[in-house]
Amino acid sequence: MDNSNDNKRRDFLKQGAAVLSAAFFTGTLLEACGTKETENTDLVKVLTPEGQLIKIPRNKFVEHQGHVTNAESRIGIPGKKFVMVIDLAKCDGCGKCTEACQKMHFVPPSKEWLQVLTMQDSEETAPYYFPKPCFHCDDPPCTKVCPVDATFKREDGIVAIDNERCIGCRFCMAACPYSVRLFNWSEPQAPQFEELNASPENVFQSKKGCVEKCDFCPHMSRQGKLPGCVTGCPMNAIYFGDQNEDAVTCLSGETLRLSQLLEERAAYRFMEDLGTEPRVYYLPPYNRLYPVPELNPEAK
Amino acid sequence: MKKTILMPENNHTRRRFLELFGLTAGMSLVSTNALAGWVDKEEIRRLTAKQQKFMLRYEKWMDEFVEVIRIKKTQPDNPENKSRMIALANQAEKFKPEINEFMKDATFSVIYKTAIERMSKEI
Repeated sequence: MDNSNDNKRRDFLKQGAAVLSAAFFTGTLLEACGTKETENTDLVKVLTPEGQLIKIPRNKFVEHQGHVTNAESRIGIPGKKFVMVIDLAKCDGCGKCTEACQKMHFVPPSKEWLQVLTMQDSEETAPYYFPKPCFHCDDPPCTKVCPVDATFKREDGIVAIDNERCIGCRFCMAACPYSVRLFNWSEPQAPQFEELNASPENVFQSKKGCVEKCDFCPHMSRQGKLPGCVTGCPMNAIYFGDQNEDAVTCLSGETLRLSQLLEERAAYRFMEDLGTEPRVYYLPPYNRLYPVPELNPEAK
Repeated sequence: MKKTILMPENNHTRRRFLELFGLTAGMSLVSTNALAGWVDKEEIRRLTAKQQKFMLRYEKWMDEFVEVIRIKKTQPDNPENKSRMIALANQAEKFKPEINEFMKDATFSVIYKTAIERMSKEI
């Protein structure tokens, strides 16, 4: 799983490097040709592989749009309505989903966007593991209290955070009944690469003085890929998909009809009484595929 | 000019808030230094009647919000408190059009941000 994530990151970096090289090459080539039409045209500056800053006409330069714009990321992926299903009968509490998430978003081990808790419904019942991501509620209290609209609900169901807008008031953290939001008190460790523009869909989102949380990995969904936690779960316990397509998929590639799965397995949503309409469903932990966990008295 | 606003003895946060806006009897006692870091006294007086009215409502909401946050800290799973928080969030959503409108005014913007900072410390 770790290798798989590494491969994706490597691919991403390779693609970025290829685009930059292409831009540099274009610049060098145009310079070498001594093109005359630069004089009266709008020029853009390009850095060559030799480290020289040269100017080329804008009409000869193709900008690579590797990332979505901020405006696009506020709307979401058209036609989609993302949904997650977690099969508690399969979750053995290994925490690989959390690790994969941390790797995907360059979050340190001390921060968990997806927590795996140990739950026990009553003294008579056996405890079970409970992975808890952001629920991306359809009626989210967090977005309502944000005074600057830094956190918002997208058309594709994702509740995102725009850290360029976030003023760090932490109202959203207080309003979230599931306590899934985290605050960056100190400067986070940034990855080696820099993303082209600031966007709520960036892989690395941590920023000092801002709030962060699970984002349902929209950068993966744009490529038709599954979120980090789903591809990190060796038990195939996490399914992700599009409600509009009525389908969810897990790591093994097993794709199930969402409506049928929810009905047949008596799916429920966490703290449904609150009326926040979470987009994460749980399948109850019966016929478990793992030994009963020991209950950690601190876990809830 | 002195105005007297009656409030419960234990409502310290509200008093502090009102002092900031110069709406309490203590207005004349609030030193310029206490406000100098955030906003000029003259600017507070320049808030429109509508803005002052709104801020009083918002301040009341903040007081309730802070109370819920305090309970959340000690009883994170209290279901009643969670429901109360949801209700307050719904209330906050209704404030947004006014906030967006008033925030165009620099004076209001500064006072509003000061109020938010005060509350953020409670979270």
